[in-house]
Amino acid sequence: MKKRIIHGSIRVRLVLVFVLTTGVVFFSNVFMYYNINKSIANIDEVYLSNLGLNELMNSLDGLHEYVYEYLNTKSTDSLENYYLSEQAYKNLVFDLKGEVADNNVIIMQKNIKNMSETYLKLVDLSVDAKRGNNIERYKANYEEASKMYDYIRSHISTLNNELFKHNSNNYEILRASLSYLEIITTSVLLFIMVFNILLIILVTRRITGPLMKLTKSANEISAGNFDIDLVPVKSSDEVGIVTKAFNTMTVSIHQYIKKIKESMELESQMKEKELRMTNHLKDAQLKYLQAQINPHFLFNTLNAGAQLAMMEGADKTTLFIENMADFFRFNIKSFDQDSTLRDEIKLVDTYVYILNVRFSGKINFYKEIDESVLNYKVPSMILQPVVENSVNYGIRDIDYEGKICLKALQTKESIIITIYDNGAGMEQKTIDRILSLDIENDNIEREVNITKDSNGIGLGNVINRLKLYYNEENIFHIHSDGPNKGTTVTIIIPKED
Amino acid sequence: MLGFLKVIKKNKVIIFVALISISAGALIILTGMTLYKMRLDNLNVDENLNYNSYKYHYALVSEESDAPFWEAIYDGALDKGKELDIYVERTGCNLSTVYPLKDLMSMAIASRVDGIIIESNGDEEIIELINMADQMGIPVITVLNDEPSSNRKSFVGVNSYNQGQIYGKQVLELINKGKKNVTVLLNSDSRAASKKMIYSSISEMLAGKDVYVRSTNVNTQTTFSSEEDIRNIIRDNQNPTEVLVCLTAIDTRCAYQAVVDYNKVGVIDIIGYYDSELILSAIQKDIIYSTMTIDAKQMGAYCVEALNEYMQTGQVSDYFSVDLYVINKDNINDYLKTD
Repeated sequence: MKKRIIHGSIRVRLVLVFVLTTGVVFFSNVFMYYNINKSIANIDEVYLSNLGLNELMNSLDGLHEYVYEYLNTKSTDSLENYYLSEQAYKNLVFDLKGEVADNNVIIMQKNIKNMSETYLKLVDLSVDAKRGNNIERYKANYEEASKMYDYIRSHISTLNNELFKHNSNNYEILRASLSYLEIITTSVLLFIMVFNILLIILVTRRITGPLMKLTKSANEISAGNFDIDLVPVKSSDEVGIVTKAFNTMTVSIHQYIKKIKESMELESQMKEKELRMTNHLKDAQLKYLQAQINPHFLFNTLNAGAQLAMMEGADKTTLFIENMADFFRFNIKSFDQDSTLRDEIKLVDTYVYILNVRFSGKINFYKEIDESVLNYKVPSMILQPVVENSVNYGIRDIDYEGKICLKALQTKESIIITIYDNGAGMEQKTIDRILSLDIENDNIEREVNITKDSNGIGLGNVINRLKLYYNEENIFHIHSDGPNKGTTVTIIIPKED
Repeated sequence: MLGFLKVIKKNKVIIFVALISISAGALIILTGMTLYKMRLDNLNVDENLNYNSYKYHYALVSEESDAPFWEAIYDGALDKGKELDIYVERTGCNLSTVYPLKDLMSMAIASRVDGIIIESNGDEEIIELINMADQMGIPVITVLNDEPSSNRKSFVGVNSYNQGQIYGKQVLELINKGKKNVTVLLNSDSRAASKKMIYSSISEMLAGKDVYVRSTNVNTQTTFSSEEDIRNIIRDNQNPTEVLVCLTAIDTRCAYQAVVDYNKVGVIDIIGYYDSELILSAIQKDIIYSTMTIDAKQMGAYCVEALNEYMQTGQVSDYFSVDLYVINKDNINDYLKTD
């Protein structure tokens, strides 16, 4: 893994590219400088030949002067000087080309060389003659030598001129070529620069391309969009590693957020349930509070009435008023507290007694109660509204004898409470409407419409409270075979462990 | 594994690009340098070093009176020499000072060349110098003007007698057209026998005809004087000239110019020497009657051949004759074509 990273690493790549480009530029520069230096060296050498010839000329002049001096004065100094300068001149002449060639410069060098040798011989002869006091000979030889000296000078100066012309031409050309070289050098450098820039652009694009993608993705994520594709990992360099890490991070964040969302949803569901529960309770409470003004007053009044009836010995009236009082007392009880089935059934009893007194025994109420269920806790006010409903809509307006039957029995898992009446019955439409009634969404007005003339709480309220209390949808059933065939309400309360 | 391959692939791309850029750089540099070298070559910077070497070195010594003529001789000699591994130098031709013939000869001897070709001017000193060169082992060949009394090895030139005969024939043609006064231009300083030989040959040819032949010495001692002399002859109405015989190329040109200037075209007929362009066009225009020319190149070649033969074998024929041609209005077109 590490090796792979090093292999394709950005650092290595960048170093490689920079070393490469710098190297190319360096070598091209070295090459160019080499050429320029060579050209400059050429230019420097241009007039070298002229300098050499000037030296030769000076040496010849010196030599001839010393010869003249010696022949004139015969001094030892001049003789010594003559020998020295003769040697110097010989050395210089030796360097000249002695070739036969079809080039003026070369052939002139050869002529100068040969003439110089002749001249040196003549000079030598005249010096010898002078030493031997041979006046005739040294004069003749000196004359000859002078002539030769003149020829050589003439040759040298001509050669010098020729070379100078040639060299000047060369110099011009070299200068021109130097500027040409400059252009070539500049263009070569330019080309290399362009290539290097292209190379660097290519490499940096390869490096920054994935980074840009990564940045884009990061921006998306920071903007809250987690549903982006993973950034493809193409390289195994540093960016590749970062990209991989980024991808892992994206996935992790995604999962984490999902989890949080789920738990939040759960929480809000719970909260909602709780809220709805309270809401229903509040609703019920409100209704009973509305009714409480009378019940309290009525309860107290009724108690006073009952005492009065007792004192008067009207037993029936006393019972009736006591029942009335019981009924209202139950109503005043706190709704926060759960009730027992026993209390609920008792409330129904009280209610039915009152109604029977009111409607003079019109309602036949039967009970079939499994005694063992009586102590089960249930939400308060669940049976009385159902019975009230049966009375109001079931058996009130029928012309035959109305019956209401309350059954409570228990199975293994649940307690089944059935309230049956043989009254007007219900259409399925009405049943559905009652069952689907949602207190939270529908206003009280509608419920009131459905459960008009209700003593307080409508069926809908009961159903919803039961549902919330037991967290069970399938808890309240209404069944009717049609008009005048009665209605059966079944409440299935699950047993709590 | 795949990723690894990709990495290799990616690096390969970079390496590929790098190689391309390097080779492109190298290519650019090489192209640039080649262009630069080519340019330098075109400019002949290294002219100095471009030369051919030869085994022998001959010197062509002459006074430069008839420059184009000598140029032709020199070209012939040079070309022939190159064939035989010899370089022929025109001694003193590019020196800044103009030297007399004897000095040039001295230079050639002092330069210890392998052979000398000289046109003698008949001076005693030249004979001495020829002998001296011979003593030093440098063979000498005379050209155009012979120096028979010297130790020269051979002579390449025109037989002056024959030349005179040919001149004479030309003059005769003109005489037949009614011309009577003939003037032959000689050089005042010419001690060379050849010119005199030509003159006497012409005289001999015209002997017994009703003509008046005279020779006039043209002064060549001072610069430009020959031209003045020729103008004087043409202007001379007391002794009018009808046929002007010129023995040198320069004289021919001067005569031609003077005849034109003094409006004597048709009055004076010129018999010229040498085949310069001007002379040829003058023949076409009927200003010069005819001219005589030798194959200068051939002459130069003969000189080199003679010297080479002597050096190889130690002996050489004493005399090489060079052909003479007459060019007149009849054959000038043929001559121009073959040239």
